Amino acid sequence: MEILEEIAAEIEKGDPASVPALTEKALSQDISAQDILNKGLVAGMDTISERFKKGEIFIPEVLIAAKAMKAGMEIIKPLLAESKVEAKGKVVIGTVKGDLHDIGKNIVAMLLEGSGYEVIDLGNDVPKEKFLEQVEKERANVLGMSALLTTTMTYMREVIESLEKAGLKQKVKVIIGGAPLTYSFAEQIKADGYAPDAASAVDLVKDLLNQ
Amino acid sequence: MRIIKNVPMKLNPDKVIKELRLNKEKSLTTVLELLETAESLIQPKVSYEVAYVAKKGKDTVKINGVTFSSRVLRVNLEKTKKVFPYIITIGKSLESEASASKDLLRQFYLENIGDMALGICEKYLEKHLKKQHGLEKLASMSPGSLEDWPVTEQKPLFSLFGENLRLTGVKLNEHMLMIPRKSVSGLYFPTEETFFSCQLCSRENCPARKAPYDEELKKKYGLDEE
Ligand code: B12
Repeated sequence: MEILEEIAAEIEKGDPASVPALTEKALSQDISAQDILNKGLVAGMDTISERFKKGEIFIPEVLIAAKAMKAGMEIIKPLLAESKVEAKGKVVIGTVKGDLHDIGKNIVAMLLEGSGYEVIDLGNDVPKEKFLEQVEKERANVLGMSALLTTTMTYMREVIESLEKAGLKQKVKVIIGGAPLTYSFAEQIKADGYAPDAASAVDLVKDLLNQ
Repeated sequence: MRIIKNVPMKLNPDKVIKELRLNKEKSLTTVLELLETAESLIQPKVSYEVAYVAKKGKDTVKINGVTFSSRVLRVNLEKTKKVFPYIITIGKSLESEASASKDLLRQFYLENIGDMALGICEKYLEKHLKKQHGLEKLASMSPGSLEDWPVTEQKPLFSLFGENLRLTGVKLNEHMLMIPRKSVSGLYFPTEETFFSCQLCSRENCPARKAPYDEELKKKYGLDEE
């Protein structure tokens, strides 16, 4: 197991150069792609998330680690597909109509990917029709919506109402986030959850999917 | 309306490293490269008007005939006659470059450098106004920064620019979002006491905090009873 710990440690250090080499090395030791993913790559990102939540490190370091994780992921991706290892769940995410802010949403998407979820990012200025279409088409487990202003966050309510009308609300967990959002707003609009930052967003998804 | 375009835009790498809390050794080359890219993409445009405060209500204040609803603004303008509404943008190029970047880290850096550039423009305007109008101290407020002055008040603020609005290079969309995204708006006003909206905002861990939260100050503005 040593090599997997090494992978995790290199991710924590944020070294994108060493992670692919170590991933190759682990494969050559006949360690399965799934173990490399969960016990190496994801384990490294978990530690990073914990440290970010505690305020020990900041967003740039999280992104540097995520980049290293992704470099390893590229190598095992085809193998995971081959051995039909499924993602932990599917998340459709986007910034709502009228809002063009996406850096926060992008960070959430990256960390979710880093934790083994499949993420379909719809970008920004996303109308409800598109959210609905993608949730249905992708059979998403989670729908994430982001907004940076109080005047754009109100659109989330409309999306949730449309999900209800289309009979999709029960099939997907809706989570929301962005600077002006709060737990109480999430409750008001009947979202399933709110998270104040990207690391907590990952915890929230795990929670909602009982993982 | 006055427009200032030649805002000196020399971003200091040490300051960027400090604000983003980066490791200097590891990130200096990246930051220098980013600053070079960013500086070629930042197109500062600072537009402002000189406007006059007329009637004041309980929680309202009329500026150039336009009514604004905000207790805090109203209290802050108690003794003020002349105010300076402003709209600042650094244009679309930097945000387009950031959005197009597939590397999220680079995107994050560019976004933040853009925000710092906007901060430099605000500071520059403050200095300019002090000099031009012989004022000792100015403070500013921005629609949306406090619940008391919501982002919907962008509309009356923008209306103060009238026909000249199109010259600012900034538009408001129907959701009150300014386009280009890398824009800020507000109102500078002469003051005797230092004031930052941050003093009335309890948000924790905010990267943009300019002054500590001051619960006591809420009393002065009568915001404690609500
Ligand atoms: C930096 C900043 C800016 C920058 C640009 C921001 C950007 N991203 O491009 C500039 C200086 C341009 C700016 C301008 C304005 N801003 Co501003 N800004 C901020 C600030 C300080 C940080 C926002 C940010 O980018 N954070 C970094 C990113 C990475 O974080 P994030 O987007 O919040 O995302 C994280 C979480 O929210 C969460 N998350 C995000 N999405 C999702 C989605 C899901 C599903 C989940 C679970 C979680 C999640 O995870 C992310 C990563 O950890 C916030 C205050 C704050 N502390 O948050 C105010 C803030 C957002 N701004 C505010 C305002 C009012 C404005 C202006 C209207 C002010 C003005 N009049 O000029 C303008 C509007 C600009 C426009 N184009 O219309 C208000 C909004 C409140 C409101 N009433 O709507 C805030 C909250 C500050 C405040 N005073 O309360 N702003």
